[in-house]
Amino acid sequence: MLEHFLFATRVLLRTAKGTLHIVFALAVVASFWRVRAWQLSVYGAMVAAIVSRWRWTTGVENELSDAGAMAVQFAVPLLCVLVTCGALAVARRVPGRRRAIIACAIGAVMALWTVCKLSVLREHVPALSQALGTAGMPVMGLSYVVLKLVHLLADAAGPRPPEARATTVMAMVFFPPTYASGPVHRYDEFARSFDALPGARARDWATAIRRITWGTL
Amino acid sequence: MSVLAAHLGDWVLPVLAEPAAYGAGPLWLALYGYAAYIYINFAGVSDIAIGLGAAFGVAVPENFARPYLQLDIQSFWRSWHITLTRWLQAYIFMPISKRLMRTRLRRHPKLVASVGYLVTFAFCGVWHGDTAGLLLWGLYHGLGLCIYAVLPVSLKVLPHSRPSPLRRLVWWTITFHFVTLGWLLFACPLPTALRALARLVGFG
Repeated sequence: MLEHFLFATRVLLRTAKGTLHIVFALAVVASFWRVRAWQLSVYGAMVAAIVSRWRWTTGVENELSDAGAMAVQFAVPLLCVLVTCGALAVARRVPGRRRAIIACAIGAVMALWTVCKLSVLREHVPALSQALGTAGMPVMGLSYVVLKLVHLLADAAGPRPPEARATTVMAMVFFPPTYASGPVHRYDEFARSFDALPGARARDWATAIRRITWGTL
Repeated sequence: MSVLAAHLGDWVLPVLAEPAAYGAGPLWLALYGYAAYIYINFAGVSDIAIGLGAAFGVAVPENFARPYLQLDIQSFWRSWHITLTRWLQAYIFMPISKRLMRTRLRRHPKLVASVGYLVTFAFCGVWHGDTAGLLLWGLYHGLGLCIYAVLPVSLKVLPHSRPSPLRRLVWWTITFHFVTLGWLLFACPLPTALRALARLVGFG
């Protein structure tokens, strides 16, 4: 096992992309050694901003400043999270209109996604897209953010709504390994393992190393 | 992007970008290469996510389960980007099907399923990007699922049946090539994809 791992590391270190993967994986693993929900949320937001900044400077043209671009990359997903958490809080207080409130929230989140995703809309409704700050650029990871939030909202409209906490919702949405390209977490599955994070020694390091190495190669 | 996918991409993407410059043989090879490229790339990213999740102590769901070994298009979509497929099934396909089953169409369940597939996979295409090619890619898979849905049961390879090796080979070949040809619409702008398709089958 160790021999395979060292061989893979040597191969990866020969290329810049491979080295970047190793540095990223090590930094993220080190940062998440022992975390609490709020730390995870803050870290996730930082990673999202850094990664989107990196993507930004590698080819996507924009009309906004870098600082503005970074803010928008984080602000649109955050707005979706706030709409979701707000709707869940209101729905808890007004149980008689729970389904209507949640339907409105799903509509709002999907509308944000549509505006940001569809270049046709960005071209034909410039005022709307400029108000959101999304003119001419995609918001990285937004499609996956929306999938996760619609999962949560739809579960909340069902017969057994989950006890969603804002910090855990943030952590799920901005969880760096799945932020940009999935897989799509369901809230209850994520919360089950996130609320009972094992200590560093109890984690499945063999699986972690095997899957990261395999995926990177 | 995984190291292997990066090298594969360097070889196949330029060929698919300029199909007019190549014959049918190299184009077929590039198309098979693209099928491998997109799987290795995407499944690799999912593997990294699952590995990092294990390092944090957070369980991340599996996203791929040997999709290219599946014998029919339904099974392919049950094993390709599994979490997205489940989402589409739960929030688009099922609501549409349930709604249609409350109308007069309930006497035609295969028609209901077909409408559900087409709408669901049109959304799936647009979810990947707002280009005509991706919308067509979604509809192409929706149509494939419709055709599979209306096939007589005797022709299908059912999950717990034991089909002959020849029958398995035929179904695998059909499914794999259906999916692989579909990647043309995913990988190239629509006019380029159509030019490439014409050369692949010996025209143009």
